[in-house]
Amino acid sequence: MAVQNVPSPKIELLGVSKTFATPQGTVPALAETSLQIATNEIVCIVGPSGCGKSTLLNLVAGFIAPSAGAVLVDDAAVAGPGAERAVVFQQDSVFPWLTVEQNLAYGPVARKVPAAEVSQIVERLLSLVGLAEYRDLYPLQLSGGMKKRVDLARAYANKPAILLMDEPFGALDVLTREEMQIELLRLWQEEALTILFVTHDIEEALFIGDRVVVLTPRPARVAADVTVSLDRELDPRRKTSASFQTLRQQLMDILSQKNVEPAA
Amino acid sequence: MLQEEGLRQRIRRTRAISLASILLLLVTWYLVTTEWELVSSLKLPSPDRVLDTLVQVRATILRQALVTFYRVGISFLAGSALGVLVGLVMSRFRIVFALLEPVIEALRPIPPIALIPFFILWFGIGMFGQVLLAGLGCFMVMVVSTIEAVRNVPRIYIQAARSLGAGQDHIYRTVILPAIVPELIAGWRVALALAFGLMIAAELMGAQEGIGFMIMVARRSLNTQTILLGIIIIGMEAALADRLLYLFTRRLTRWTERDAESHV
Repeated sequence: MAVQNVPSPKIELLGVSKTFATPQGTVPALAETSLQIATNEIVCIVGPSGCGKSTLLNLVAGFIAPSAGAVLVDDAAVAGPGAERAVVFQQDSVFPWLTVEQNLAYGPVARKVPAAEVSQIVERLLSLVGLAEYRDLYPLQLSGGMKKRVDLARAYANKPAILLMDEPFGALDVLTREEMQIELLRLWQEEALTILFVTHDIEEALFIGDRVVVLTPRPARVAADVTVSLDRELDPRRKTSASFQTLRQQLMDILSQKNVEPAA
Repeated sequence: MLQEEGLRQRIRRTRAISLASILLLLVTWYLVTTEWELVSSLKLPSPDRVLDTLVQVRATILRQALVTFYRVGISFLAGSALGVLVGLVMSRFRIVFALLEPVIEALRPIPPIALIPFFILWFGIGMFGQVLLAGLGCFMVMVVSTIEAVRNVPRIYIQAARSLGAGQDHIYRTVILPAIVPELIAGWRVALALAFGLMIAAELMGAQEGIGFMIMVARRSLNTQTILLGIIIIGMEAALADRLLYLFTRRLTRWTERDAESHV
């Protein structure tokens, strides 16, 4: 079968562009962009702030519709948000009126998963992300890093095929951010899924991603699409290795437009 | 620990000041009426005469106080429950909003007190018209509070719920409803105070029972002690009701910051 030889991409953007209507006229946010993301691949999108990275992610999430082109997931056009595409936002979106445990159960309960199965899923994730002893606490009683853990576990609880992350660790301090990056990779190694990860932090992108896509300033276009062939050890010290830093510098140059041509 | 100790001390000091302020008011009242005799007892009877009256007619007073409290309770519970429900339905369905909003906006500026003569004409001076009037006041306050509170629910929670697979009705029950409660509390307190005001006004203008009715009868016979007693009783009832409401809402908002601070 041909499908086996050429696996179709999990996520595909076909000539997608997006303009927003404002009182001052239309503002282009995303220029015509095409992108393919394979199943279980981690693709990081980096770009200057306000360049339209989040627009791209919101299109895949189904929160907004493209002005032109098509967003395909499993070869079907995205028509709106769906449980198979979990989203983790930068802002705190853990429900403050639910306990940690209830937050994790939210997705499965909303999708009417049988109660026994829900508690099984919740138990597993609670221990997987180390939240078991905090299960009855309200988010108010947790630190920022803990809340992000709940957020991530809540997304995983739905067993999504795709995880969309919009600068998820942007509001955390450096140490906690590093912890969460490792947590994410650990979860992904445990239970692989396709991840689209938006960040403005090149180091973060290189540490997490199989591929790093660099966008230009608004309206965003793809300036570079780099496959990261570094080892995937869960050790933040590898960020200081020579190969890591060389790649980082290359991407920095592209980002600061010293070199507009895509890097090979 | 130290901080908590300091906080407790501060709370104790604030309570002492509040108590002193009430005592000062009573002492002034006593001095003005009894010691210095600055005001005639017809206009302002002394505290001990009011106390005497209370002891003499305590059974009647208790009965009248209960009647008023009961009626206010029914008006508040029914009126505000219906108000929240209608507010939610209006926010949920555009058609219902378009249908009801102009009617509510047309009726809302009318002070409910102005309706009393009309209500007496329609329903007589029985309990029904009074409960309807006070309930209507609560209803109006809560419809507006609810619609406003729904508008203020952070979009991020709704987006998170949608991408976790929740449908619109599920989101209303599990996100909108809990999220608006802290904002509704202010509305409930206003509505409760309004219910007392409207009930007393209705009882003053035409009733067969209640504290307002008792005050009205006392006025006809220049029985100032009883008038004053009625005023004090109604004040105590309103304060008690507000306290009960506070205890009830505190249970509903264990997850909020305002509560985390106040239960220390």
